[in-house]
Amino acid sequence: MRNVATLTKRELMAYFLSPMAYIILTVFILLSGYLFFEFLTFSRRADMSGIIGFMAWLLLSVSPMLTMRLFADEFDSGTIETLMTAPVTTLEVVLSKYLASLVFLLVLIAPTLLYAAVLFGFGKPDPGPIVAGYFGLFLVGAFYLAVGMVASACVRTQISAAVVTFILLLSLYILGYLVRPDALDPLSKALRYIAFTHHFFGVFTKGIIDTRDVVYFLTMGLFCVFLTTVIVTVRRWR
Amino acid sequence: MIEVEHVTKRFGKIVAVDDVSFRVDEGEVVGFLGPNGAGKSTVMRILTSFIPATSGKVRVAGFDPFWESIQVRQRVGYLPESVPLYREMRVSEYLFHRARLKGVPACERKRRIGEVLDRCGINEVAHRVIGQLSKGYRQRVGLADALVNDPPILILDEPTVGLDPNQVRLVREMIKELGRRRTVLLSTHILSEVEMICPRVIIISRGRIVAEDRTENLMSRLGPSLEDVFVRLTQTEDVVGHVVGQDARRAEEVRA
Repeated sequence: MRNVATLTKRELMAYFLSPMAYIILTVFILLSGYLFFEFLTFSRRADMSGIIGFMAWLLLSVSPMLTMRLFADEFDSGTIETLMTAPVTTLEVVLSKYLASLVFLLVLIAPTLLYAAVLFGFGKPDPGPIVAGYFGLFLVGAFYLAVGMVASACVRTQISAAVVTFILLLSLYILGYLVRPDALDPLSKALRYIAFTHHFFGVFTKGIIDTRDVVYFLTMGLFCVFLTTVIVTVRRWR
Repeated sequence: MIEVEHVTKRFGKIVAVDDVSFRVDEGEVVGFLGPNGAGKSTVMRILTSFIPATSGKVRVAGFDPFWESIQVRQRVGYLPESVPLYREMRVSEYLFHRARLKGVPACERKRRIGEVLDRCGINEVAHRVIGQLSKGYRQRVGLADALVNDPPILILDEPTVGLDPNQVRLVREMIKELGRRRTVLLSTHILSEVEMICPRVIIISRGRIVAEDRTENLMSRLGPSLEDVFVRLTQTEDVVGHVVGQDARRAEEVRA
């Protein structure tokens, strides 16, 4: 556990010592803030389902940039050698990196709680969908980061890690829309289960917290942690 | 302290290390020599548990680097050939991070880091960002990292590359002094250095050990200087290969 704390601290340091973090933060807050204003003036309703859905989409575009560094940089610069010859296990390293990216995700979405505060200040929004929406937003963000971490462990350079992650996430996103929501054959059912869109859009944004969806995101996260551990180990051995 | 028995490492079809056996006893300073690509770094990576051997038996401080890798890692200070460091961190931050990671108790950390900074002569850059340092400084930051938890075994892959003559002397004296209490295995190309600090050498060429003896014995047996010994042992095969290659090409030309 002490190792995880040490490593997470270093990862966070790496995040906040690079200009990338601040660029992403700025872009995310500016875009979501502007869209919040647009949604609000257009609908004239004190609800956040639109903006939370949009933020989930925005996270899809920025999260590859948050995870690209994680392992690709260690392999590229060779620091994986000093890291993996220190008395730490691969699992500890993977967990720490994932944990650090989750902390950054929280930092990224925390300022947008201001929008909720504005709604509560000037209207009477239903708190349920907002709380559920934010919970879902965190889960879906955690899913993006988990996929990004796997991709980062597979490739050599940061740019390719970002590109691969973006393509993967986008394909999963599109996959969700290719399957008809009412199709009942096993393949469609399976694809619908795999595509994260069905576990977030129209569920959390409507204020529904379904254990099945929470379990889906937790399973995916754990699976990606496990997969990354295996990939990093095998890649080092070759 | 280090025992290697019949170790082979293959990368696909390439045999990087071929049936290598040697041992380094406690308190010994052993030079590990060989031309580029001979398999020195591969052996060192196996010893430090970075990669597993394809076959053979390895023991470092009595532990197996594959099955008991954490125990091995706790006891080995390793300086990899490329000296990988986190470029965005400051030297002191980096060493603090590494000291924590290597389990140096909180109360001793500051003192240990002060010691290694002094010892490696990098006190004046302690607050600089690693990415901005020259090769010589970075090399010594890597060395400081290897020493920070005061490990009983040091595995140093070309520790004096990129240093100026003054720094080489400093590092050489340091290794000599460290070797009084520790087991040191160091690889290098600078043969004069080996003559000065390593009482015993292992010469490896094309993944095989071609000589292992006390330095003075090798020199009395095979040549007036270690350089002659090195060239004789490691180059003959290359020269033969070269000549054969030329002959084949000539034969080809004749046929044409």
